[in-house]
Amino acid sequence: MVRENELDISEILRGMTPGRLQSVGCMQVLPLIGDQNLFDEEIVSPGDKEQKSTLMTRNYGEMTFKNTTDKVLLVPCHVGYITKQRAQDHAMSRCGFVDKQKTKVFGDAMCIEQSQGGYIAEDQHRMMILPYTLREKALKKRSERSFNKLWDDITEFNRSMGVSARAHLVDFLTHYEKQLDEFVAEFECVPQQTGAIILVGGHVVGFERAPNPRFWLDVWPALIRECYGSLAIKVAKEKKLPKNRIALDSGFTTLEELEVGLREAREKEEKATADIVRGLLDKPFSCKAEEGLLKYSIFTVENDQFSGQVVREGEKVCYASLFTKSKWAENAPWRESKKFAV
Amino acid sequence: MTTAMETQRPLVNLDNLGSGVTKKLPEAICKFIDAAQTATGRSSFYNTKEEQDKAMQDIHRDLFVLDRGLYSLCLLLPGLLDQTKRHGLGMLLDNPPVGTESSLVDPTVESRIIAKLSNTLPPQRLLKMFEQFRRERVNNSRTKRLILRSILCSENFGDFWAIKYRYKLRRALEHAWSKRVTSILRSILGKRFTKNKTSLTGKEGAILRDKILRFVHPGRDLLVLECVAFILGHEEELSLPLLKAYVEAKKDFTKAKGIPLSNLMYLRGRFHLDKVTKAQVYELAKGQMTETEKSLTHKSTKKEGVEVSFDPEKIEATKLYIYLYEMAETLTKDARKKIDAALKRKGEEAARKLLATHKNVGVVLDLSQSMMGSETQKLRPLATSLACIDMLEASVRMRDGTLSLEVTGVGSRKADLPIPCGDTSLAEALVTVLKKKPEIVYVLSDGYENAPAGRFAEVINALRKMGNETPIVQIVPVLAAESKGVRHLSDKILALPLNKPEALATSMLKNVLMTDLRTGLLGIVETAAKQLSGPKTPALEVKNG
Repeated sequence: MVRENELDISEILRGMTPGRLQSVGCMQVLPLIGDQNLFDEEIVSPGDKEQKSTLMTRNYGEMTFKNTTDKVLLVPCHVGYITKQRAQDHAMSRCGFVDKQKTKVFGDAMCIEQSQGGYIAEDQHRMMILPYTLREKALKKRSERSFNKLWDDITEFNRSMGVSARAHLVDFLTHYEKQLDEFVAEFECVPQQTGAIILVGGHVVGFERAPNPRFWLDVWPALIRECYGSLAIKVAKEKKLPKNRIALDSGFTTLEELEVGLREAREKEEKATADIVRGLLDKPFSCKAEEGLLKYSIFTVENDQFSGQVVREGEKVCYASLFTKSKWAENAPWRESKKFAV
Repeated sequence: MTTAMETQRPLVNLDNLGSGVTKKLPEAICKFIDAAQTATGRSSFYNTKEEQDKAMQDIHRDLFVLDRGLYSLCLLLPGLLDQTKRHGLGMLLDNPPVGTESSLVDPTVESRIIAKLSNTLPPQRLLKMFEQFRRERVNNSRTKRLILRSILCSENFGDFWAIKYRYKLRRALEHAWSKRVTSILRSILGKRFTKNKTSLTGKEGAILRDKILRFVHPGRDLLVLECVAFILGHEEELSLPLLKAYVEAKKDFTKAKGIPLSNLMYLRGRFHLDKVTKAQVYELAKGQMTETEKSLTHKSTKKEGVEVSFDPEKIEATKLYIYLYEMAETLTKDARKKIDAALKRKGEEAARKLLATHKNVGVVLDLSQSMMGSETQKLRPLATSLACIDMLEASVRMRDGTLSLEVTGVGSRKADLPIPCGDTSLAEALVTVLKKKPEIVYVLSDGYENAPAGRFAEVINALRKMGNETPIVQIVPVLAAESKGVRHLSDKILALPLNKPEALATSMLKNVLMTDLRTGLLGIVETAAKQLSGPKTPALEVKNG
C-alpha cells in the first residue's frame, strides 16, 4: 500500500549513505551510495549501452520509445535529445514507463528547437536532461499537449544566458559546450553510487536517485552536464566559492601541522555540507499519482522548496529527480539574512 | 658557442630565430611535447575524439607557423606517439615550403626528416596516413613521391604486405598514380598475369619502368610487379607462395598457411563460413601472428580453446599492463610470473635511460575513476602510470634507495592489480609521502582534482611557505583537450606528459626549455641529429651564435 503523504527527503533517500563531497568551483556533488539489497535491476534507462532501446519522433510534440529489453524502461524525468540530424529536437515534460519489448508514444513531449523541421530517426541517441531552469516550467506543463509549450521559456532562458533570442536549446548547448564538458570531466562516480545531492553556490539545488548503479552511470552525464551544469555556468559568473568550500589555513610550520590542517578543513567542509542538507530532510511533500506500470508508480511531488517526480514500488522509492523551485531560489537572500534582533 | 663543427652553410642555424618567435617558442614547444606524448587521436575519459583532434591540430599549427624547421626537428624526439608523427608528416607535406621562409633548419633537411619519419611508422599507420592524404586531396609531387617510395622501395613490401594491406595499398597507389595511370598499369600487368600471356610493347615496358620499376631496388623487379598486379586485382599466373596460397584458399581453406589472421577471418567469413570454425582459423594463424597480435587476441583464442602463447619481453610495458588487467585472473602462475619479470626488466631498461635518478623517491598515484581511461583506450592512463612506477622503482633499486608510494582513491584490487574508482584527493597523499623525506615526489595523475579542486595547489603553497622545497613533478598520462596540453594540478610544479616510461627524457626537455631556451633548442637539435645520422647520411651541423 503506497502511503502517498508520507514522503520527505529522508524517506526518498532511505537506504542511501553519503560519500565524500566533490567540489569544483561553485558546483559540489555529494555522492549517494546505494544499498545493494535495495537496487532494482528490473529497470533500465534509454541510455543503457548493452540493452539498446531506441527513440524516434514521428510527429511534433511526440516522442516514441522502443523498449527492446526484457526489463521496464524508465524514461528519466525531462530527458531530451539534441541530434545532428535535420530534425526537430525533442524533450519529455515528465518521466514515463515503457513495458518490456513494447513501443510507447508520449504525446505530451515538447519541441525544443523552434524553427527546425524534420523527425528524429530511430536510434539510441545521446540523452540530455533539460537545463535546471526549464525543469520546473516543463513539469508544470506536463499535461498540456502542445509541441511548442516550452518555446517562450527556452527563448527567455537563452536570452538570460546571453546566447540567442529564439527557442533553440541547441544554441545554449553549443555556446557553452566546453564548460559543460568540463563538468562531466570533473565529477567522478564512486562505486555503488546510485544518487547524488547537487549543490551550486553552497545551496542544494537537486536530489537524484536511480534504481541501480548502471542506470545512474547512464543518466549522470546528462544530469551534471546539461541540467545542473547550466545552472553552475550562471552562478559561476559571480566568481564566489560556496560557503562550505573551506580554504586551507595558512601559517603551518611542519608537515604534521599541515596534515592536521588538511583533516580539519575536510571535517569543516563535511560539517558545513551536512548542516545545509540536514535542514531539508524532513519537509513533507504533497504527492500526486501520475502513471503506473506493473508494480511501479510515478508520483509528482512538491513542497515549498522542491518539486519533481519519484517512482515507487509500493513503499520503496526506486527513482527520484527533485529540483528547487525558482521562487525559493529568488527568495534565498531574504531567508539567509539575519532576523532582526536588538 | 658552436656545438658541432661550424661549416660554410650550417644546416641548423639558431640565429635564424627572430626575437618575436623566441618569446612564443617555449610555450609552443612545451604544448607540442605534451600533445605529442599523450594525444592518441582517440577519446579520453574527459574529451571526445573530435575535441582531442582539434586540440592536437591547434597545437601542431602553433609550432609550425612559428618555425617550420624546428617543428620538423621536434617530430624526431624520442617517445612520440605514431599519431603525432602521422599528423606531422601530413602538416609538412600539405604545406610545401615557400622559398623565402627563414627557418632554424635548412630546407634540405626536411626531406630527410620526412623520409625518416615515414620509415619509422608501422605499415598500418603509414597506410592510414596515405588514406588521410587521399581523403584530404593532398597530392603534390612530394606526397606522391613519398607514397611510392614508402611502398615500392620498402624492403618489407612483398606478398605478405600485398595480402594483409591489399585494399589500403591499392587506394594509396591509385592516389599517387591517379586513377587513369592505375587503370593503364592494371591492363599492362594484366598481360603478364593472365593465362593467355602476351608480350609487352616497348611503350608499355617504359610505362612500367617509369611508374613502378624506377623506385624498386635492383633484383626485386619481378616480386614487386607481381605484388602490384595482385594489389590491382590480378589473381592468375601468380608465383609467390603466399599470393598463390591466398587464391587457392578461397576454394580449399587448408591451403591458407602463412596468411595473416585478419585475411583468414575474411576468407572464412566469405567462402567457408559453414565448414571452418574460428578455432581452426586461430590454429592456422598462430604461426604468423605478431606478439602484440597474440596478446590482443588472447581472450578470443582462449575462448575458442586454442593455446596461443606470446613472449612478454617483446611487448611494451603499457600494453602488458593492459593485457594483465584483462587476463590476470585467467593466467597460470607461471605465465603471470613471466609477465611480472618482463615488466621488471622493462622498468630497469627504462630507468637506465633516465637523465637523473634519485635515491629516495616519493610517488603519489591517482587511482580515481578517470584513470580508467575512455572506452576506446581503456586502462591506458593507469597502465602508463604503473609502468612508470616500475621504472622509478628500478631507478631507486639501482641506487639502493627506497620508493614511498601513496595511492589515492578507494581502489580495490583484482589479481593483485589496483582498480581505479572514486574521487581524486591527492593533497593528503602528498603530505603523507613528504613525511618520508623523499628527494623528489612524482605525482602520477591526469590533473583533474575534485576533493576539492584546488586543494593540491593550496598544499603546494603551504609547503613552499614553510620552506619545504622538495621538487614535485606531476606526470600526466593523458591529453586534456580543453587546456590544450596536460592539465596542471598547480602552476608551481612541473607537469610532464608521458605515454611510455622510456619517453620521460623528452618530457624533461620541457623543464630545460622553460628555463633556458637555447639549451633546450640545442637539446632538440642534438636528439634529432642522432636520429638522422646514419652510415649514408651526414650529421647535422649546428651554428649557434
